Amino acid sequence: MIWLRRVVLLVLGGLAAWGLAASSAVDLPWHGANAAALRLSWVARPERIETCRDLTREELDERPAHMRQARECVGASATYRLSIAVDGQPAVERVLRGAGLRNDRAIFVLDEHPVAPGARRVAIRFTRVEPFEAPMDSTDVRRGAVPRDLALDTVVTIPSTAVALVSLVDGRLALKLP
Amino acid sequence: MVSLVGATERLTRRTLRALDALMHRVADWRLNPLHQSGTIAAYLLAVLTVTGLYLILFYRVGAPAASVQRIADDPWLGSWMRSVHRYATDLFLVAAVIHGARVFGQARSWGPRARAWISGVALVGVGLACAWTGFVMAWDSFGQRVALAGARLFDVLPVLSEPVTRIFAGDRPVPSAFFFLNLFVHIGLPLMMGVGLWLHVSKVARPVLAPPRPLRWGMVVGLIVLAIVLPAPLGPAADPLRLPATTPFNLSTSWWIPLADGRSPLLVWSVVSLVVAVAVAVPFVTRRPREGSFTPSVVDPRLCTGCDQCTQDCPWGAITMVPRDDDRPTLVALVDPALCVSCGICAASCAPMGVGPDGRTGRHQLVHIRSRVLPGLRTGDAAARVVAVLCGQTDVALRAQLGAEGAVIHEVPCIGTLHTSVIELLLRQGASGVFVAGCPPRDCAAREGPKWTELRVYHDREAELQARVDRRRVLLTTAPAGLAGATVAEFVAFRDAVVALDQPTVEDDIDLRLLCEPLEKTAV
Repeated sequence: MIWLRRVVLLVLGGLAAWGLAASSAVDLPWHGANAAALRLSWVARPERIETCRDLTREELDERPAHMRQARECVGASATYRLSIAVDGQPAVERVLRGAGLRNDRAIFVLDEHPVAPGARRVAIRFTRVEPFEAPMDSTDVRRGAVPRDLALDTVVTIPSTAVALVSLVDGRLALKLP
Repeated sequence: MVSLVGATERLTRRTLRALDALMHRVADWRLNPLHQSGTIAAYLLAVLTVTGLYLILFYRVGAPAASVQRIADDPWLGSWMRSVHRYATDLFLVAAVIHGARVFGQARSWGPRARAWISGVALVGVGLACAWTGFVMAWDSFGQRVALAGARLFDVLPVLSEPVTRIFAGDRPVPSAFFFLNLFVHIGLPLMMGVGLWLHVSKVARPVLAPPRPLRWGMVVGLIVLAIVLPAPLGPAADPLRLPATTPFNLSTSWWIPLADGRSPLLVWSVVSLVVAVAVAVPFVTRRPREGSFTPSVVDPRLCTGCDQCTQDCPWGAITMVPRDDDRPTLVALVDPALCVSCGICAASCAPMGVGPDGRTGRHQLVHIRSRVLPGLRTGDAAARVVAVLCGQTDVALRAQLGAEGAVIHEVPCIGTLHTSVIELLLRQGASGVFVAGCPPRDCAAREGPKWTELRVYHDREAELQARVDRRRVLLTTAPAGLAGATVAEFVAFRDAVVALDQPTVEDDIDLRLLCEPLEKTAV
């Protein structure tokens, strides 16, 4: 009977080893065979909106010498509206703020939307929410702030299992396919 | 709550016993890997280190997918080294979970063992995190999936303002710095595991970190053969702008991915936190009151000869020798109640019977035998006077079967707690034989009970079974789960053998002090 036990042991050991290998060889479904997506990914430094006023002589005199700045500005980062429409149907409409507790860091745009493969009309807008009349401040230009109005309206053929990536290249929205 | 914990412990214990029984039917119980789960996990860490060191020589952070593909394509060493590394990871986690279940089922997670339990939970967690970084290193489609799943969870934590997920968006190549950091973590985590393992066994005397040689080599050879026959799969190189329909998958390390897919990261974190909280709470909810069966050992300094044997035998290092506060020249044993788990091993190590949990010292055992067992041995023929001393952890069915064979059953918490004077007393006062059946040595809830008992009965380890005791009338054996029939057959053979011997004269008037030489020197 010893040989029988050995055979059973070998079979069981083989089954356990096969189970170990099989647990590594399972194919796990992920996106499906007919998936495609529109992905937006860029970093946008928001404009700074400031309200400035000149301090009076009395106000300046009250301050210590090293804090006597003639002009005082209070400001915040601009917010932006992102809207996406695929084949004329609105997919996303939301307001984005800068990262960080004070929203003074860059805006990190990262959005992914499943779309059906094939030719799709994609319309994307990224515009400043706060009204503006004057041109962008030179300081903002120097800091590399994102343009106030970005738009992309195009028809793209997205193959199956592919991602159409929209990113910010040289101050414009650009589309990239694999 | 207490009843739920107790029910879970019992269920775990029964499940493991059923698995043990199955294993013992096909394999020698000495090599039951379920008994060796802890040592197997520790040993696999060494296998992972060796194979990992080899793989790291050929890994390139600048071209992760290509370098791993090159390793996988090398038929001589690379392919199976990588697969052994991968399968050993799976086996490590499986072994660690079984080890945890066994410890939980045997109620060995509370009190001074809490550190071992909590560090064990941390080791499994770090092991999973290490596996995560390992899959990302390969940077195939599964690595990409694992990375994205992890990044999604990380991004909800208020740590970085820029989402980590953006690294994998595809608008720029994944930076080498990311893979360098990942590699750094993949090497750093095993170092942490080394520290964790040290913590895990730091309160254990004589920790065993390697399984028996046949199991050790069988495991290594088995892993190599498996790696050659069925190499671990490697998916196509990750491409952020592709959406693979499927990915390879690893069940033991990445079972959480399908569960987390499509669910809110906050929900996933909540579930993870709950699981961790429950795991960490185990030592507290399974804690026993330090009274009755769980009262810590105490030393009677009047009886202690300072021989040091209890400090050597204590599996938890809970006993130290300290100077006496009287005029005797020896040291005296001192039990640290915070380290004592009340296993009772020390009770059997002390020749003068001066140490042990209250109610379970050698002296208490003799009193118990005299009042409960000896009266039953006064009558009947030799066959009806064979005492079977059984560990409380053995099968209930075994007790019933031995009882049906006419054995006088005497149950002890662990055979390692059985003072050899009990065996001598039984034989001198009517028992025709003493059959002692314990758990397999690597399955002992008191860690070293069967080992010490064998040395005390057959190899003169203190407190040894005296030379005057006829060894033909004593049998020490192992009663593995599921093999009650074999144990009963062994008992029947032993009973028949002792019945055939001349029956000893019953000594009615034994002074306890005669059983214990050092006691004669001690004023009690």
